[in-house]
Amino acid sequence: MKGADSVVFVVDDDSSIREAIKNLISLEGIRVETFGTAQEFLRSKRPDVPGCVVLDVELPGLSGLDLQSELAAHGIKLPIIFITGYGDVPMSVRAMKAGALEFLTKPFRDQDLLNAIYQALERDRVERQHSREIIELRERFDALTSREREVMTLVVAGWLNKQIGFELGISEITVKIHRGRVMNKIGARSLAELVRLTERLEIPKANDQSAKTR
Amino acid sequence: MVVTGTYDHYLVALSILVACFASYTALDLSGHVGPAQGFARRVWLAAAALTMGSGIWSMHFVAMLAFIMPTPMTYDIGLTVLSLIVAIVVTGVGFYVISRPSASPLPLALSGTFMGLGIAGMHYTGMAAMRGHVELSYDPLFVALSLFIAIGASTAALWLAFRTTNLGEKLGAAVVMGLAVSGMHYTGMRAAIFTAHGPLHEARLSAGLDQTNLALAVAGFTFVILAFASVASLFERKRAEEALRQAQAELAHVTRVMTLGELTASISHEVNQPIAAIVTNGQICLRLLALEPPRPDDMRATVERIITDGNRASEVIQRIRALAKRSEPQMVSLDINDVIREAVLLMRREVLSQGVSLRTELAPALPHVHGDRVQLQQVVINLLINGVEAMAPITDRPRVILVRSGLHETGQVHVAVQDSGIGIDSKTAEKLFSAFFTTKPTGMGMGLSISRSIIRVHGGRLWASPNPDHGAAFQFTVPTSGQGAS
Repeated sequence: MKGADSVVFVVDDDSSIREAIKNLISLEGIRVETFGTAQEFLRSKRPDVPGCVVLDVELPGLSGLDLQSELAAHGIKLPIIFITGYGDVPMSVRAMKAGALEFLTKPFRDQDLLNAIYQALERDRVERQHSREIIELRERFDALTSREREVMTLVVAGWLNKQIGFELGISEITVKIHRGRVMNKIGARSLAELVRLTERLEIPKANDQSAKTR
Repeated sequence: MVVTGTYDHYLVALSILVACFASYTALDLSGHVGPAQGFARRVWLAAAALTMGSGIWSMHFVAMLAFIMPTPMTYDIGLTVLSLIVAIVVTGVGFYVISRPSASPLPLALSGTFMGLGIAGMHYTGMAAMRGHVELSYDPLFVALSLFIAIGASTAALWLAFRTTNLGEKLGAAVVMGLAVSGMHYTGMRAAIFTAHGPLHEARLSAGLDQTNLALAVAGFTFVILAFASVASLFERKRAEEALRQAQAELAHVTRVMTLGELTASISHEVNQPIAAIVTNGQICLRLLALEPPRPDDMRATVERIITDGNRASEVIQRIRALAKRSEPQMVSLDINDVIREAVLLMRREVLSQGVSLRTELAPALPHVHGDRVQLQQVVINLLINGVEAMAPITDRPRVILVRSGLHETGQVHVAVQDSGIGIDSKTAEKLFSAFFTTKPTGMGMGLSISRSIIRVHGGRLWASPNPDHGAAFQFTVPTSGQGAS
């Protein structure tokens, strides 16, 4: 099934709605966990698989919108699908601006909710994939020696081997050797790919030397 | 030669009785003057003055017939009629003064003075109407004393009569007024000195038969008039009470509908929740139907949930309809805990949306109360709204409402709605209950005042008290129906 290996968290204080949504999603073969309050959800241990939250706006205590900002503050990037009994425009605008994926008014069409859930799970899967790559990339970058790192920074800034050698006080041959090792360790097949990968790591750039070349 | 008279004790007693009965009727009638308007007001005032004036007059006449003098006496018709008019007009002024709304004690003193002057004026005019072979002079000390008694006792009687609706106290006021009239008369008689200036013929030693019959006829006639006036007053009182009761029920209904209007958002949410669940469960059923093989057990469970939620939505709607309906109050025996639960059902969402947590501590097996379900629900809802509003400015502590039920020391059932809000200070506590007193910009200030009038009609009491730590408790008692918990 499409949703295997993923989990949907349903947070709603109304047990009837909670159970109905749970049953609907379960029919799709997706794992569901339900919570009556935002606090309960925050305390829970969430499995490390792609997921999303179906979140009631009008929760007692911590509201749905409060929970959204709380999750953001903790760096938890779970996509959120809001459901509400009486959604008004300002409320939905606020939720969407804060990154909500969908804003559904109760009662909603089952397919609308399921579509939103699939979209959310896909987004989270990509997000997780992406962050896994970043982690891997960072590991590779951490494996570089400090000299290699210096060379890489200047290479991606567009410096020529000669300029790098001059700048670092080493021969052009040595620069080439370092450069080859960098490409190897990071796993980049071309200069363009190296630039793209380092951009994803958000490494501080050296000055654009290419502009200086006469 | 000074002539002294004797009294026929039975007729003296009769005269005092006439005075008391007339006083009761006149005070009763004068009670209608204040609330009445326009023509009706003048009619009630005239009736009270006529009753009081002719009461004083016939007391005087019966008392004079009880007074046995060893010389024949006649009365000047003109002055006798004048004495009646004096009594009616002056006491009328007295009733007029006291029936005008005023908080100061001045009208009472003024009214008492007029009343006393009316009594004394009648007496001395009546005495001046006497014609016979005796000359009349007065002992100034006793004249002053008679005036003092008339004014003092009248004031006391008016004070008693206009501070209460209690029948016993009204009767007490009538007796005091009766004593003002008869006390003035007999003191005034003590002040009178009769001097004969001719030989005394036909000395009579006892009241003649004719004279006694005349006294009885006067007294009887007075009693008949007074009885008619009393019956009229009684009917008017019943009618006014009924009108007041209806107006109160009407006002309760109007404020109830207004309150429902304010709660529209949260109540409709309370209906929408089960409907949303029904829709989702219906969609689940369609999906289950499309499955191959079908899953009848899951279908059945889902349909059962649909039924439960349908009933839940319907119950909320029934509660709203009951509250919105304009119906005569129905005093029945009911469990106050049911009333609280139903009110909480409608208020739950409103309370939650204000970030308030609501707890109930309902005593089990309470005796049933005698009351109107809808009006008592209205009171609980008003108190909950009141509590939620009192907590709006609170940010440094949890916003909590606790609804408790229990048995009060008076034997009535007691309900308290306790909040952790801004609280009340004892100076404004009573002001909270007056109509149109409000602290919120959108409110009418009717909630607490209508709640208090509802509870009063139920024979209970509604009051507010500060909590020891934070906030206030609004609480009321309702009499039990005496049937006990079932």
